[in-house]
Parts: sequence; structure tokens; C-alpha cells
Amino acid sequence: MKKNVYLVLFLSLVLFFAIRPTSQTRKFVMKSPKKTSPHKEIKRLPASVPTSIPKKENKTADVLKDLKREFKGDYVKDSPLTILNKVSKNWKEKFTKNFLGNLPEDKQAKEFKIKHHKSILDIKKGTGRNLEHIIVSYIKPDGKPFSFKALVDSETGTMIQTWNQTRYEFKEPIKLNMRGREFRSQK
Amino acid sequence: MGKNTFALLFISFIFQACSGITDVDPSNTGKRALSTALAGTNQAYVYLDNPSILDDQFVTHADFDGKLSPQFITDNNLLQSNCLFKQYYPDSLSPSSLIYSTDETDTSCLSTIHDRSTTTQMIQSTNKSWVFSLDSHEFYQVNTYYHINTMTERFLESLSFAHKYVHLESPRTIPPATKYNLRDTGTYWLSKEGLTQNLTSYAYCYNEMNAYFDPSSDELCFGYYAEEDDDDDDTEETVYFRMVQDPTIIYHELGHAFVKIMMNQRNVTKGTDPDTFASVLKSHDYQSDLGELYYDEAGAINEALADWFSYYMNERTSLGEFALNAISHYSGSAYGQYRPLSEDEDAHAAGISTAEGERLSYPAYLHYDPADPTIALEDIHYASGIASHYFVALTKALKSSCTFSTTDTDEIHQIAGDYMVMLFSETMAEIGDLTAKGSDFFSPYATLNSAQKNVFFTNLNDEQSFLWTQHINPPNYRKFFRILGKNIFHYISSDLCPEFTIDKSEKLLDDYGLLLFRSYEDRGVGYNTSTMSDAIYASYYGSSLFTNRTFLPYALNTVVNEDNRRYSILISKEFIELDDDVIGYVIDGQTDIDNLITNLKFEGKPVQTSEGIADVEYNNNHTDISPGEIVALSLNLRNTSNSTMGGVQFLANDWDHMKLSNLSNTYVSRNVNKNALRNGDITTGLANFKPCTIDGFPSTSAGGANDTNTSDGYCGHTSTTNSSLILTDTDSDSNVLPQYDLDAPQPVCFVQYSDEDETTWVNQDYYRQVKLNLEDSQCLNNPIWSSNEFNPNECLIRTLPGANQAVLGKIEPQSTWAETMINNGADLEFSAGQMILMEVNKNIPAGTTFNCRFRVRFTNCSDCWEDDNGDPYPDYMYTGHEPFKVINFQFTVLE
Repeated sequence: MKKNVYLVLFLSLVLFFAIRPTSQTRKFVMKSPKKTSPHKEIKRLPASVPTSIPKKENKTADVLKDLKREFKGDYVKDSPLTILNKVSKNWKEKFTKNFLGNLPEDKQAKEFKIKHHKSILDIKKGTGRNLEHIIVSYIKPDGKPFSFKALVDSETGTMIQTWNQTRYEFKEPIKLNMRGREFRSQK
Repeated sequence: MGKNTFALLFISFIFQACSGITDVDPSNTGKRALSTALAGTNQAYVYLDNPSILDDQFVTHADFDGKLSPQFITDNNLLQSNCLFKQYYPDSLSPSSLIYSTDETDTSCLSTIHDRSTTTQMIQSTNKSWVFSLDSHEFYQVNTYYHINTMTERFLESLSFAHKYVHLESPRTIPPATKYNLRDTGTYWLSKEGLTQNLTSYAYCYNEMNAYFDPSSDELCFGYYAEEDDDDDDTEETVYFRMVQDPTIIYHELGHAFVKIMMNQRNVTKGTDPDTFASVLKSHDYQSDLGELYYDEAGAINEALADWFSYYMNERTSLGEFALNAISHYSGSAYGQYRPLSEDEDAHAAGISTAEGERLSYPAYLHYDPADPTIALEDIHYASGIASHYFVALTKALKSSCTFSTTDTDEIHQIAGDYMVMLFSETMAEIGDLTAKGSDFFSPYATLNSAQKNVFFTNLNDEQSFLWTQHINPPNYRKFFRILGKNIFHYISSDLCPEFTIDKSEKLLDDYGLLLFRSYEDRGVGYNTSTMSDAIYASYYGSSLFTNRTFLPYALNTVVNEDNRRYSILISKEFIELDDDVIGYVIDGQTDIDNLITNLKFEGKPVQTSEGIADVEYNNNHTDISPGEIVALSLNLRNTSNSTMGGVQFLANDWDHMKLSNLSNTYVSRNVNKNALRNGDITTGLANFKPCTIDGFPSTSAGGANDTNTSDGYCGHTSTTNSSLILTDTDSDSNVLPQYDLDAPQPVCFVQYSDEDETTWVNQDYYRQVKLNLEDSQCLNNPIWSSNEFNPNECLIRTLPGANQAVLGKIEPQSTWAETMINNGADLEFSAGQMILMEVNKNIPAGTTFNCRFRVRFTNCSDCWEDDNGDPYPDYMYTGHEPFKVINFQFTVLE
């Protein structure tokens, strides 16, 4: 009798763990059914691609202050803050690879330099995003020195905004001949 | 007394000894040999003007022999100096009196060095002499430093006057935009986080006849033209020409640096937080630039200001008489080139003069090149002529109209120069303000008024200000001269120089076609995000803001006297439309687009493409829009009026033109939210947007939302914040669940959807799900790149953020831009700034039709900046459609 009771208990336990939805299996169940698509898959991903969508990280602003990252925006003392991205050790490399891409040798910039100005936690409406404030400088393929300031994502190295570009006095803009390029109304 | 007499005699002796010396020390023959001449004086031999002026004829080779004069350089051992700024404030013991303190920068603010090599050292004085042999590299470094330092000292005097006058002596009928605590924030000079930045000038920067100001590293680079000597044994080069041989070029380039200072003086805040009483030192992440990379009117005004600084220094209505002439010569172009700053200059074409109706006027002279008036070219240096000539004419008008305490013409020029710098400082401080306040009068940290944290009078708000000042409401010929006109009225005509009446001011502006506004907007057009209501200056009047500085603003806007508008033509936006037949120009060749994107990248534009979803490898060069392509597009806009339109801009950025079908369902339609919906983490629903009916399109039966409700989220309401996403909600696994703001700006394109029953216009997200079954990862700018900011409404067609606006200089009456250029002798060529870049998802089936809503406006538009009642649009209105002509660009994707 006792043995049977133990057996039943054991089997119940096994069954319970077998069917209990763990967070992983729950996620699996919740996934959209895989659709067949006739379209090509992405051939390659850029270097800046993060491995996953960043998760929210609940911390208070005061704890984050210890990270010596400059706070920007609506910083409210002691208020909980959610962080939208992580700080990658390789953000600089990712930015460089992303910026220079797969350009052929004759189109490459020379003396490419990234000067890190500061690290920022940009806070908007209770969420924070880690950003890097940098100055990018290089010699363009045409031999002209050029530089600008940029804010880049600390995880992906993606450029968020740029400003303060070098202002040349005489500049030959890239020109495209538009003859034969008329796009007619299809209405 | 006796000691003083001796001192005076000694100084007098030194000066006498120096006067008349025009030759370099003959013993100084070696290129780098130091001279003992002028030892103990810290002086050097300096050319005070360019070789063409010194020789009184156009020359292409600099020969300064016999034309130099001894001038003080610096007491320092190196070619560098700190800056001094005199800031006035009321005497606390006698508030009606002003006292000043002189602030000296902690570190050097200026330095000159030979070139950009990291191993190059700054030269040093010897025996307190800066004399180097004529034509040596060192000689030119010393001369470059001299001119930069002289102009800087002069500018800081003018800025000090501007500060003292607007804050402490003016009637204060408008809030001063010039920063009050320039000294504490260090923003009277180039500043980073309140710390002085050194402006480095390279006298021999690189081998090209060019010059630049680099605002990211605060550098002035002056090029040269040299060729290596043929002799195999000789590695030396022969230098034919240096930009620094022409001081007017130095003034011009330094002028760009001063523009940066004035544009950014408000972007460092120092004060006390009224809530916590903690000290505050804030600097904005971004900095304001006057002008984009390519052709735009802000850039033209920047050039005009830089040109004016040459006139400020030498009172001559021309510049570049040597440098521009030499560049033309060595490039094989015409002789005798220079840049005129007044219609009286010989360089101008026939029919141009300072007589009424014969000045360079807007927009007719936007393409005008005095060297070749027959060619149409969109270039900021040509478009700048209107503004530079106006600035010089205004300075001359002040000199001839105002009453001065002196009859000395040099002193009068100096005082008029101070007035002009005051006007520029006020205008640019307001335009470039990224705190979005417009004045310290509305800064909570200056006034200790906590309620002012939510008050904004310029550039929308502190979050969106960069976008606003650079793209959405950037300075153009209307905005700049409207604000300048306001400052002339309140500071010059109403106080400093009543003789220069508002009528005179309006007539002069109008002579240049620049009376492009109907109101000075001087009662303030702001917004309070706390009360969610419009704000005017009069709400903050009185003496409580700053002790002894009563603020008495106008309750009503001052309107322009329409009798003064004779040459400034305003045109309704109804007169701009797409051509009936050719609606645009499309470039889709692989090499063209590849080069264009590379070029934009190298110019620092964020043009991240959705690799794998759209790529130039899909570009087929068919001038159609095909799946997977990245195309450059320029709208073929026709001016159907009988007057010329100037500064035509079309915008392809996200804007508030769609409405949520259900205002409770705000979650972005993406996988993470779909999962959360299934899990029960979301209890409402996913967002679905309908295009608002604008100008009758699309009709309700065709899928449009046609409501006039002015509550949040409806088509009748315009976003007051331009806020797009809320990222505070999470699921049980801490995944962020992005939500749209009720009036979130949306991408410009939507798509035509047909089923058995009807054909309607739907958002891209709906189409990608219902018709195409596309996953998030198959979208353009999918979460791989956009992370939490993924917007599925740009899944199929996306304009690239670094290339989502275009500017066309002018369109002649009854013409398109292309016809305007061709009729004026130009080739049909577009440059990067005249096109936008658009990605096309490779998964779009051929035959899919899109409608993209571009917003178009132009500078001399009568109804793009003011409503039907003549009231100026507040900044937030530029999130919507009313200030624009909405252009529906429809296309079908073809294989």
C-alpha cells in the first residue's frame, strides 16, 4: 500500500514537472506559428546586430550613478529606472565595422580614429539608454580630412545622431545626372 | 611722477623705434633662422592686408617684402593665448550703476601651429621677438596667429557690449536671448561642458587651395598650393600660394567659429535647481550648426556672416582679392576674382547697384555668381550674396543714420560693428538654443522658478530641439531675418538709434526681398507642457525674474507695415504641386546609389540601411521602384504662380498624419507585444493606424480617418511633443512592451490594399501581416537594428534618417526646379542634398501601390509660417500638416 502511495506520488511529481509550463516552454507555446515564406532569408547580418532584443533592467537611478555614466534627461532621484540596452565592450569595433563596412581599398578612409568623449545614460520618461558620445575623424578617400561628433548606441555601435561636420569652404558635391531619370505618374 | 615720466619716455622711444620699420632683418636669410630684430618687444613683422590690396592691383603671388609693419604678437613663449571677457553686472551697492569683472579662460583659447601632424611642435619666440624670415613657415604661423588674435579680441569686446546692452541697458521689451551668465558658463568662447576649448589654427594644413572650420574639434585649417621640385636630389617643394596670405580669408574662416559660439551660447546651463537647490551644470549633447552639409539657406547665411566679419575688420566691401584671384589663376579660371559685399563693387553685373530696386534681392539672386552671372548654380557661396550685402548695407545705414558720441569714422565703424554683433548674438542665441527656452528669463535655473521647467519658446522642447533647429524648423531666409528684424526694432529703432526707424529697417529688408514675414512675433510664441497651453512672454512680465531687470514685453505682436513691402513677394503654398506627368526623378543604379551612400556616410550622415532586406545589389537601374532597391528620389515640383519661389524644402521624416483606430490599443504590433497579448501581460490591444484625411485624401470610403476632434489622438489634434514611443511597460520576463504615444509621428508611406469587397489605403504594418505574412525580422529597420524603436509602419518602404529631407534653391514661375536650372544654362544634375533616399523591402510583390505623404514648403510662402489670421504657428504645429503643402507621391512597385 505504502509502495503504491509512493509510486503514485512519484508518478504525479514526474507528471507535474513534465506538464508544468516553464517559462521556456511557455514562450515556445506563445510563439507565432512558423509561416512558410517564399522570400529569401537575410544573407548576412551587420556587425552591429545584437544577439537579442534588450530586456528591461529595473534599477534605481542612484544605483546607476555609481557607474560613472553621465545622466542626461529626466533624471529623478531614487526613482526606478529601466535600462533599454547593455554596454558592449566592443561597441567601438562594432561602430567601426558598421561605418567602414565592406568598402574596397580605394574607397576606404585613412587614419580612422574614434575619440571617446563620454558615456551617457539618456533618460526619457523613466527609461534609460546607454550611449557613447564620440568624435570621429579620418581622411576621406579624396584626401580631405573630415570629422564629426556622434552619439552611438553602447550595445550595437549604431549611430543615433551626428552633428558638427567639417565645414569646407570649397566643396564639390556628389552630382548625379538626371537625364532619362524621369519618373512618370502611374495614376 | 618722475618714474612715470621715464616710463612714458621709454615706451615712446620703443614706439618710435618701431615705427616705419618695413623690412625684415637682412641678416635673417635662413628659412627658419630667428632674428634678433624687435627683441624684447614680443612683436613681429606683419602683413596687415592681402597682397592684392598692398600692391593695389590683382596679383597671384605674394610678395610682402617692404610691406610689413611691426605688431605685437603675444607675451607668451608659444603662439597661444587665453581669452579675456569683460562681463558687466549691476553694482550691488548702487544698483543703477554697472561694474564689470574680466574673466580669463583657464586654458588657452587660441593657438596656431604649422600643420596637423602629431609630431609638429608650436614655434617659440626668442629674445621676446616673433620675427622669422620672410616667407618661412614660421613667418606665416605668426601672421596667422596675429590676425586671429586681433579679430578675437575685437569680437569679445563686441560680445561684451551685446551682453551689457541687452541685459542691463535695453528697454527689455523682449527677453534677451544672449546668455546672461556667459562668464560662468564659459560660452563667450568655444565651450564643452563649460570648459574652454582651444581653437587651433593650422597655417599650412594640407595641399589644396581650400580652407575649413571643423566644429567637432574646433580647428581652422588653411590649405596651400605646392609642387614638389623636379630636382631628384631635392626633396623640397615650391609653395606657390597659401590661404593665410590673405587675411580676409582668415577673417572669414574665423567668422564661422564665431557663428558656432553665438549659435551655442545658450547650450550650457549653470545655476541652481529651484526644487533641490543643488548646483546645476548642464550641457546639451548636441550642438547647433548654422547650415547642413549641402545647399541650404542656413548655410548661405553662415557664409554671409563669415563674409561680414571681413568687413567688420577692415571696413572694405570686398574680400578674397588675393586668395580668390590666386585660386582662379592656378585653377586656370578668369583673372581678377574676388567676393563683393556691396552692390557698388565693380565685380557686379550691369544693372546691380545700391539704388532702390537694383540691390541683390531674394530669391532672384540666389544663383548669382558675380564672376559668371549667366550660369545657375546652387551653392551657398552664391546664395549668401543677398545676406552679406544686406549685412553690409545695414551696417552702413547705422553708421550714416545714428547719432554717435564721436565723429571719428574708425570709432563709428567700431560702434556700428558692436551693434551688429549684438543683433547677430541675439538672433543666433535664439535660433540655436537647444534648451528650447529662448532666454534665461525662462530658465528655472536662472530665475529659480520651478514652473518654468515646462515652458519653451523656441525649437519645440529640450528633447526635440536638435531635430527642430536642424530639420523641422531650421533657419532660412525668413526665420533668420524675421528674428533679426525683431531685434533691430526692439534694440536699434526703439532705443540705440531711433533715427533708424522701423520703417527704414523694413524698407531696407524689403530692398533685399527679405521682408518675408508679416509679424515680428515679438509677443512670444511658446508652449507650456505642464498646462498644455500656448504661452506668451507677457505671462512672465515684471521685475520678479531678475533683480533690477524689469521685463516689460508686448501683449500683441508688432505687425509689418505692408506699405513697406515692395519687392518681397509672398506666395501661397497652393501654388506648389507635383508636375502632372513627370512626378519625380529616380536614381536606382547600383554604382550611383553605392557612391551616394558611401559619400553620405563619409560626411557623417546616419544612413544605416536594412542590409539583407534592401540592398543596392537589388538595384536594377530601370528608373522604376523595384523590390529590394535603395533609390534616390527627388520630387518634380512645379511652381504654378507668377513669382519665384525660394528655399523649397521637402520633408520625408515621420509626422503626425495617422490616427489610431482604437485609442486604447496603443501597443506596437510586433512579436514581443503579440506574445504579451497572448500571455495576458497586455490587456488592451495592438495598434492599428488609419491615415487621416488631409485635403480630401484618402476619403473615408478609401480608408481615411476624417475627424475634426481636437482631443489627443484624433486627426484634429497635432502632437505637441513629437513623442513617438513609450517604453515603460514590461512583461513578466522583463521584455519591454513598446507603446505608441497617442499622437505618435508615423512614417510617410502607406499602402493600397484590395480584397474582394473594396480597395482602401492601409498602414504598412497591416499590409505586411494580412497580405504578405511578414515577420518582424523581414521588415526594413527591423528590431535587429531598431531594437525597441521598431516601427512596423515602415516595414515595406522606409526613408533613411540621414537623407530624409531635400532642399531646392529656387523654382522660377510656371516652372519646375529642373526647368529652372536648364533654362538658366545648368546641366540636369542633382546633388545629394536635393534627393531623399528610400529603401524598398525585397519582399514586396510587384504591383503593390504606395502613397507617400511628403511635406513641402518654401521660404517666401505666405501661409507656411502663419495661419489664416496672420498668427505665427507655434513650433508644435510643424509636427502636423497645416504649415505645409502635403504632396501625395504615388508609385507602384515594379520588377
